[in-house]
Amino acid sequence: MINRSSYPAITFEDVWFSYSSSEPILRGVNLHINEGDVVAILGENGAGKTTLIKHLNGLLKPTRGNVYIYGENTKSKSVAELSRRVGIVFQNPDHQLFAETVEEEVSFALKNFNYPTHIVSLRVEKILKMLDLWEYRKCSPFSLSGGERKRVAIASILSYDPSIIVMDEPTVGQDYAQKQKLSEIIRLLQIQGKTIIVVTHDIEFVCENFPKTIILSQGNVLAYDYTRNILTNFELLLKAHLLPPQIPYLASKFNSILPRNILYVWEMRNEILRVMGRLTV
Amino acid sequence: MSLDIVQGFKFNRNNTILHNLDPRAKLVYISSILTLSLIFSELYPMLILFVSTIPLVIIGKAVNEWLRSMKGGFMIILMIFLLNYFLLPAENALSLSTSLTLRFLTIFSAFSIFFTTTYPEDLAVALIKLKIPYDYVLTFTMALRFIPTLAKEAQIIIDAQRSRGLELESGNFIIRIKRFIPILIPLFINSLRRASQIAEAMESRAFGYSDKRSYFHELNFTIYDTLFTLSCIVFTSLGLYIKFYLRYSETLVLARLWP
Repeated sequence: MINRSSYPAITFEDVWFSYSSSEPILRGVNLHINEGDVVAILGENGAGKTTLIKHLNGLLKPTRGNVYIYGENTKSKSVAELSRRVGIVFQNPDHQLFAETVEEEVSFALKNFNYPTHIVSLRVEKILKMLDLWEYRKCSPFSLSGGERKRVAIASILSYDPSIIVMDEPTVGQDYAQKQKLSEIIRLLQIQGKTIIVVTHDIEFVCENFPKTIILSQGNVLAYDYTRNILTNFELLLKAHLLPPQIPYLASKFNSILPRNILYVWEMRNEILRVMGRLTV
Repeated sequence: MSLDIVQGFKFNRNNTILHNLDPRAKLVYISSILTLSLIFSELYPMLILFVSTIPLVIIGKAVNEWLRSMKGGFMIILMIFLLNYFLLPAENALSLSTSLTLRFLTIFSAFSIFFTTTYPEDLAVALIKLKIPYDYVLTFTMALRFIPTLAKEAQIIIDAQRSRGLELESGNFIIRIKRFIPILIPLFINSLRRASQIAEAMESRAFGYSDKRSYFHELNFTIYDTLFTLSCIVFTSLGLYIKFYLRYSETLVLARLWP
């Protein structure tokens, strides 16, 4: 298990949540995510992933228990105040795009947070260039492709530079090139010291980009550990109704000659070469 | 910001006497309630009418949804009361504004009972049996069916925009209205997109191939439906008798206000 550091960015303390008159969606979640952590959240449909992340900027408040962002209880803060520190990119970009041009869309949050005009222009330019959207700045967001609209939605959050960035299913509808671009952005944000949380079903994407993984099941944290420990534990994955990634699965088929905790293609290659007696490393 | 008000109009799958009634019988009930609540504007008849809807909400097992709707519609209810109380130049403004608020609540409850206990497909078949063209019925039932979907989507859009620092609860009335633009544009565009996608999906499944259609559900007007319909007719006739034959004491209150 992952140790609790002295700089927790996010703390969930016995968090229960239910929409009125229904079964609890979250059932006593306890979680500590440290500043600068890059964490994936995996779990079956209805496990409570989206409900969990909506607690991070106060869109939902716990029915029981507490959520702390940098030590501050979300119950005492408004969504706007919390959003300044926690940026959530929603799953469907069409649920937020409304402006006439891409640059207006990206500047929306900056204007809400009352940034001076010159800062707004600088930030918009920087983020549009970073996400390869600069050439579309004068276009209507609705004229863009699905992948581009998704990037506009991400840009509109990254533009105001929140410390915690949460993305809900960012890889849905993205081709390989866009996924690579997303991986680059995550790495860049990681270097900047941002805390990144991504909800996804894309297990291969998790393998490549996230050092730590949370598994949610039936409204509770089933496991929170290093990604390697999680994704090579098939019993755990089965419990959460998840398929193992291809490489560990292949390794499991040769478990008498290969170790089971192989996660990457290069590790598999090295192991095969070792087994074949041709390893030169 | 919540859209709880639509919860009371969403079909609630259950197996109660009301759920099993023919939609045509329930349409008679709606007509009765509408007739009675529109001919009376006095406090006591409105109170009786409103109270009469509550047992049906309980029988239809829609109490939670109904209460959520009431909670969601509290501002509208309050506005109806206050506007009538302050704007009607009547000596009995309190009684009149209460009865007009009760009229709204009664109609609200009756429609809530109807929609929470009537499966949209059954409603469509009932309307077709009443000789309404299929295209109109389909448009109507689909519009109803998509109200909860739209409400859910509106909530997601509100959440997404609030996450970008949009404050909906502060500022004066004009500012608040302006702040709804980022909510309404995505909602409108998504609705248009969805309508177009649904039209394509329906045509891909042979919609419009033939004027003759068969139906998955068939309706039977049972003895219970007849009894329920007759009760509604008796109830309405009694109301009409009290109002127009016995000339209920506070008749034409509104007419008296502006001589």
